[in-house]
Amino acid sequence: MEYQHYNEEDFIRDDFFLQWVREPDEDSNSFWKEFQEKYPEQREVMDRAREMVLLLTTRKNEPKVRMAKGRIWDTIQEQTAVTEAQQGVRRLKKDTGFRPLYMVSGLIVVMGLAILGMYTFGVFTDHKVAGPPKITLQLQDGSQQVIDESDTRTITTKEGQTLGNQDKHILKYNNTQQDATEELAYNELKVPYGKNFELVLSDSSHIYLNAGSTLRFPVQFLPDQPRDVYLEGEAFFVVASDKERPFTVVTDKMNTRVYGTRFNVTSYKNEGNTYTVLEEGSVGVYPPEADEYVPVKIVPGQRAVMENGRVAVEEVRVEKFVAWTRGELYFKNDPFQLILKKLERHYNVEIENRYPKLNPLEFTATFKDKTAEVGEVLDVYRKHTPFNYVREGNKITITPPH
Amino acid sequence: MEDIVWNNSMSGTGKPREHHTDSDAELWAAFLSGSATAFETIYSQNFESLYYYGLKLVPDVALVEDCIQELFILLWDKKERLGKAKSIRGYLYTVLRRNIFEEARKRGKMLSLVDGGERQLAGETPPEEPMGQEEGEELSKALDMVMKTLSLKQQELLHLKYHGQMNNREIARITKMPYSQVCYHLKTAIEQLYGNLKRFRP
Repeated sequence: MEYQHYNEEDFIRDDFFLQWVREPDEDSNSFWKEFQEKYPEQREVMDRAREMVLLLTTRKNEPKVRMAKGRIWDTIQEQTAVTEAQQGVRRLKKDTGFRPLYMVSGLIVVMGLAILGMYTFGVFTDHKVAGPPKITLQLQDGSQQVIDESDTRTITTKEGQTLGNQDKHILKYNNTQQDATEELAYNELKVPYGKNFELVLSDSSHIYLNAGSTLRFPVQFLPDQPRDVYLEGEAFFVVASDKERPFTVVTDKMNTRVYGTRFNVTSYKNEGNTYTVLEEGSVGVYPPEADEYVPVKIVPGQRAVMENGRVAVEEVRVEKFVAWTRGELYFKNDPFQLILKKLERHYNVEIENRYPKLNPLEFTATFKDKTAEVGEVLDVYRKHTPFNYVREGNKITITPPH
Repeated sequence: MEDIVWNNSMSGTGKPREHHTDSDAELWAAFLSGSATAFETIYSQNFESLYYYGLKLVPDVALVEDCIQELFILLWDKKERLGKAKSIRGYLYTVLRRNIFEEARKRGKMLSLVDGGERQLAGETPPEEPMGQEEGEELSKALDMVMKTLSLKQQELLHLKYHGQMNNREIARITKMPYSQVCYHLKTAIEQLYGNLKRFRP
């Protein structure tokens, strides 16, 4: 349609006309001047359209919006390096606040599931021990303590040094003033299959350990020294930001350097996969043996996977990788083989698959009902692809259908 | 955050020029290089647009404010990873839109956001205060009232088109709607607007 046939509505939708109303320049001025000389009857229509555009564009000047603008800007300054650069203020992300509370209910239920286990392995499948699975803490003096999740107590060394407090399923380390000349003392927390546990380090970093995981960490971090922790298994980290002391999660295949953030690291030895998924903030990953490492930075929503000594980055749905922190099982296009591994850890059961054809089949399913038993989960898969299973104690055997 | 390079192709019949000036690109470049002043300028130039836009998406002031705050914090934290942006506002709209929907979903406020039409929430639109000095103007008052008779989807499109000064292609990119649908919905929104305005403007 040509401009001479435009009505008011047509004009206000036309980008070229809009542009002229908002930011007239020589070209558009001469174009529309010429146009109006040729079609004077359109002048009135254009004037009305112009008025309408200006009305539609007018910004309201509301006091509450002005106030919000100032208030939000203040918070942004507090939370970003904008002020850090200007005032040298050390910042602590506010986001450590709400998640832990949110987590508590999820964890209690997961622990309930642990009762299902009758015989157990330790953290590693090659360390089989009898009796129900226990969370253990090894102190710097070499002593080993069993953590009972119903306890509320103080953790002390043989020499009487207080390290921190346990409040049921969460262990909090005290932050005491450290001398730079002191040596790092490490503790090691092992969470067996069928259990989850939470840890707050002396720097206030909050860590959720998934079943079958071990974390080695300094009791106190030293001033001006990087914060390194060593993980095998899976953990979700909410790291307290500290520009002077970078936080690094070391696994045997990949290191994750943190810049203050929320992310999930997975490195189960018996699964042969190592990866980091970022929920918020910024992390860089690099191979452990790299001397002059250049971390590969990932952004929220990405996963860094260690593949043959190299870091590959891909877009993922973060939800899939953090659902476990709420006690949920989340499988999306996962091979059956991997699903069985996760079920073993989650329920502290041993699953033998005598129907290997199932292994490469991919399934997608979410189990949000935290009271679901492993049998119910398997039944869901059986409905889709038939197989049989028998359970004896904590051992489950999968066989082909008859 | 997405790396977006905004190119402007205009959709009108006339021969358009790119309406995002060089200063937009310069401001963005200054911000990327770490200028706190540029950052503040970007905030200050776009806050109101984002604020009103957010409320068109989800009428929840607290949620919109949180999302805008988070948007700018992430913007600063991630500036090393961001690409060129020809239209800063277009980029901010895109990211804010996604964040608001995500956050709304998390907080269980998922309205039927994907398809417009029925998104109208009677009585839940934020109370609007009077317009200031020009409020005597009949037409502008009438327009305000008529605007509320449109669906939130229509309001969103009109907001992007007029307050946001985005062209239809940019709107399509921001809303992830097909270009033809943007044109169609804008057309019907404006028809409806005019149809209802007739009652106020003989």
